[in-house]
Amino acid sequence: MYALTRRTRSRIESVLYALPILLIFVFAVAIPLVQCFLYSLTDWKSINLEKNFVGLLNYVRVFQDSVFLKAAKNTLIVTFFVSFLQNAFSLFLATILNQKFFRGREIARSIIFIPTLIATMVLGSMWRLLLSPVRGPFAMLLKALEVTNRGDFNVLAKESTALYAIIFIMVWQYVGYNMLIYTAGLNSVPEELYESAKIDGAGPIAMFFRVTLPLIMPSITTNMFLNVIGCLKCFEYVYIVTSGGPNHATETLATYMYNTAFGQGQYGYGSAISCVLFVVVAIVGIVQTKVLRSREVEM
Amino acid sequence: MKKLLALLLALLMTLSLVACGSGDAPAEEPAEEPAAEEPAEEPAEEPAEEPAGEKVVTVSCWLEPFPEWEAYVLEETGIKIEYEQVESKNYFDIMTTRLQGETGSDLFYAYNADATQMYISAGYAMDLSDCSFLSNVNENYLNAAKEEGAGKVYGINENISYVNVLFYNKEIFEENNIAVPQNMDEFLAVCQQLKDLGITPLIHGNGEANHLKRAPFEPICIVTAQEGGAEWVKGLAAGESKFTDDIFVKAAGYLEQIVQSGYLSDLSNGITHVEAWELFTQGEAAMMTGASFYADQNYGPVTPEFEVGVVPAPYNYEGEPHVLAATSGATIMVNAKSANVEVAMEYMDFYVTHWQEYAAISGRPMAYAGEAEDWAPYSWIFDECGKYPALPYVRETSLIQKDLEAWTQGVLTGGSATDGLEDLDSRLAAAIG
Repeated sequence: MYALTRRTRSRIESVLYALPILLIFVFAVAIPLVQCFLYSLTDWKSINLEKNFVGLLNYVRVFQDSVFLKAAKNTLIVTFFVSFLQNAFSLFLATILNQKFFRGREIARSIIFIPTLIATMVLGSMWRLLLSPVRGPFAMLLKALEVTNRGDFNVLAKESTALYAIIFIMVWQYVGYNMLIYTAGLNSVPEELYESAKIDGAGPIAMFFRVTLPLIMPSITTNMFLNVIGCLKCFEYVYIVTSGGPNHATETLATYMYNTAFGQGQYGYGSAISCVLFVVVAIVGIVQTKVLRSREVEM
Repeated sequence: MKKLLALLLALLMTLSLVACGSGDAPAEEPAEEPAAEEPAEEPAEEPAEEPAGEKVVTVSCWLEPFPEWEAYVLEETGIKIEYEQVESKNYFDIMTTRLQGETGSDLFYAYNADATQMYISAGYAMDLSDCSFLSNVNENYLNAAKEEGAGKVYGINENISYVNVLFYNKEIFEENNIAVPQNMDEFLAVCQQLKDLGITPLIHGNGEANHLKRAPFEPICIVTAQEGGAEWVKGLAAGESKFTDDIFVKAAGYLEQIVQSGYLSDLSNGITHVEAWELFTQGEAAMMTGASFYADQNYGPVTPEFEVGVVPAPYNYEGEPHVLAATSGATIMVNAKSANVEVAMEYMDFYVTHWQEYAAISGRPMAYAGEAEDWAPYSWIFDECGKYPALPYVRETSLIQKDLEAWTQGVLTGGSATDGLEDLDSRLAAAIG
């Protein structure tokens, strides 16, 4: 009987192990991706099955589209503020809650982490209700205080404030998630390094910047990667809370793609937007990981 | 051993994935097999659960079920309606997907002329032109479901037109001795009068797309009905009309005037129609805009002692009649791919001869006590509804609906009505292709 060599057997095993995920990847990612690109080259719209090839016309339209540019700008604003604020707050919270003198830190961590466990749809609806100018508790309070210009506090309906309300909600939900990753990073820093830094005369601030920060760089890389990619394809909160309004003030690339394809039936054009979004996310992800990885310190 | 188990698990997962991928195949194959293997008596038992000869028709719509009508149909025709209420927000997507996948109900509804035309052009609606029962239907109800540019009929419109209405707070009007406005000039004058008294004149729930998109088209009714706007609306589909045309700029100007003059409550943006009603009945504003079909929706005043009055919205010039909203409402169609066409057609036959009559007999739930009396002087408007020619809703705006909503939000939050009109034109042109 023909006996397989150890190496061949190992190779077959590897392929078999990878087969389920490969099938998922091919059918759920690769084929739809190629299909999406092919649709982006057509004028497919509405419920008509007819699709005419239009070449790169949809891509030309994407870069001339004022709403696309507005959505891109909003996406960048969301990405910048959420990534910065979320990391800053979560690192601050992780550092504070990692101090041994802090009593009840486990409970505090759990409370901060709870929003991460709740479905975004639920939280989105909850915030929409909280900020409702009619039924929200803030609105009730303003009414009880007989504030006459209550419309000024209608943050989700104002172009100048709606996007920042979304940013606040996003930071609020995911700060606990980032905090957990930072906590793990902080716990992995050897105690001896702090002790020798102390002997060398370093104060708490110097220790944080010279010892802690370089050693938790892998956590920063992970968090930044997750935040930036998550924000670039930010959809749920915008869709639930404002649907991209008012007047596209909270429109992001993902909601614009969805609204164009499924809200207006312009499937060909919507596919082109999603292809552009895919390329942007891929480039940013690769560049960001390379840059942050180069700053990591080997222990 | 561990390795072997892991390998078996991976193989199991692979097989289940492959099995999931070929979900359609078993549906076709076993069809022949039972005939050969199973005894002939067994399949005969299945229909025993349903009475022999019972006719069933499936209907999908976004509206609330109407059990009284279903019982009436069953009693008169023996047809059992299996009604499915589909989520209104995603009705179009859900129905379209089902129709594409040939799993749509026997009868389905289109919610406006735009959707109607799309279903027709995609071949999902059955051609009803030769059906004898159409002779019982008012020509205008058929026009709303005709293929554009052709004479064929593909559906029947249920409520061809509605009337925009203005709800008003009777107490505020009586206390301040304000006359109920009967035309656009009077309406704007009343708004100013209320504002001078320190009362917020108007509220409108702008937070929902279906209410928001009507905002520019409510004032446009005045222009539509009296300045040849019907032709302008039809011309949008052909690319002959533009949002920068004087007719639309004029109509949009009314909207801007209402907002810029401070007549519209600043709480209007981002709230639902129901929330607006809640605020209105709490006295937040003296008037609220709506439509006659809200009378069906049984909104009760939040405060029991609240007295609401209602008149047709004064979107008309002095001395001219009130204006109907220029849109067709729900249109019922037969699924061209249905395997149950015979029963569906039988139901349609019964429907066209009995629906209007039944709806009139059963009456409609009123939004508040005394509404019927309030409406009595205007009953002629409902009588006239069927006589007005059906005007397609802004055709092709489904392709730029979100853009139109965004432009409206811009005006409602204090922007200029003329800002963004050129952009709307170019977006419509790009969408139509």
